[in-house]
Amino acid sequence: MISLEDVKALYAFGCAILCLTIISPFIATLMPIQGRPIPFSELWVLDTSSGMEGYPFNVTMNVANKVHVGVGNHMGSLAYYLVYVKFRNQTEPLPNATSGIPSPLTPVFEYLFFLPDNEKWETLMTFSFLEATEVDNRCRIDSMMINDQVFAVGKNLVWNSLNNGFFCQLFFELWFYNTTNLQFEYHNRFVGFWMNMTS
Amino acid sequence: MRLRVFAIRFAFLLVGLLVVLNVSCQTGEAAAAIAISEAEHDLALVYVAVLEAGEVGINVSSLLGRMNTVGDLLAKAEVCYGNGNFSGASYFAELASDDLAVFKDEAIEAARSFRAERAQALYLTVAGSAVGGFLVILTGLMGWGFVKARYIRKLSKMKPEAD
Repeated sequence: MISLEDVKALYAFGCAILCLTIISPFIATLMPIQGRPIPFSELWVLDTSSGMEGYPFNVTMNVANKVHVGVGNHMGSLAYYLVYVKFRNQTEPLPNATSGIPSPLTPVFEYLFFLPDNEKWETLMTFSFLEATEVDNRCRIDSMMINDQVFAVGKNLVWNSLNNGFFCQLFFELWFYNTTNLQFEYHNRFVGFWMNMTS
Repeated sequence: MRLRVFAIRFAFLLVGLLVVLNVSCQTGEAAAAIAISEAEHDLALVYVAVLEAGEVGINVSSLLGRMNTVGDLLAKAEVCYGNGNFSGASYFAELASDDLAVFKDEAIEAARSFRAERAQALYLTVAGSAVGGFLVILTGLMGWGFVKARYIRKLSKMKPEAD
């Protein structure tokens, strides 16, 4: 027969298990949920056939070009996103992916939207170049149109003799609203495509 | 002489006109910036409220469509502002504020009721756990006397083994 000390230990163990079971809902509220996937967002730009082979490249004045811009939310909750559309020549800076710093260029256009978790947002962006002048080996783009709105861009493109063209880039930066410091933060994601101003 | 007086008057008039134009332009810019800032602040408030409500499974899909409409108007206001079109910026920012006013209170009220429900649920959990834990300890202590007595009774009924 087992000793009284062993019976006491077994009894105490049983009581402790029962006690833990009863207070487990309270313990659960104090412990953070483990095993959540790492939150992230997607940002993409696709051509009109939702591929990557038909991006507008050789662009001409007053001709509409179209691309699809999209964002996917995998942040684990509803997210508030801001997509900046920026336009640069070959010498102007892109965002710094290593340090997570956005490009200092002024955005020409922006999208502001809310996206539930595990859902995606996509829009068709139409753009064209309206005014440009070519002098010697320089091309100045004065204005462009995005989604039927005209913007003054004032961008100088220098002739690239290596690749024979006036190259410029349209790129998209993804920002999200941080509820901790109550402001938009650069999400360290950007995509873009190069264009050659032909005529 | 007359021509000189006329020229001086014209110059004063021109300077005055430029000052008035500049002041009104700056006022327009400031008004647009304030309108955008207010609408952005309100939309962020709604977002935080909806985020809290959505985290516990409250259906917020009906609000999302309206929030996106406001976001779209605000983006237009920002674009106009960046483009120097301050009247357009004010127009879109005010439209956004008007739209927001319709459901801002609803969203904040939903978040408030959610917070109250969550606080009540937490209170019930804490109280239930405390009472349950106390009862287990109490019955455990009382039960131990019973178990011990039963053990001794059972032990005393056992016959000693002869060597």
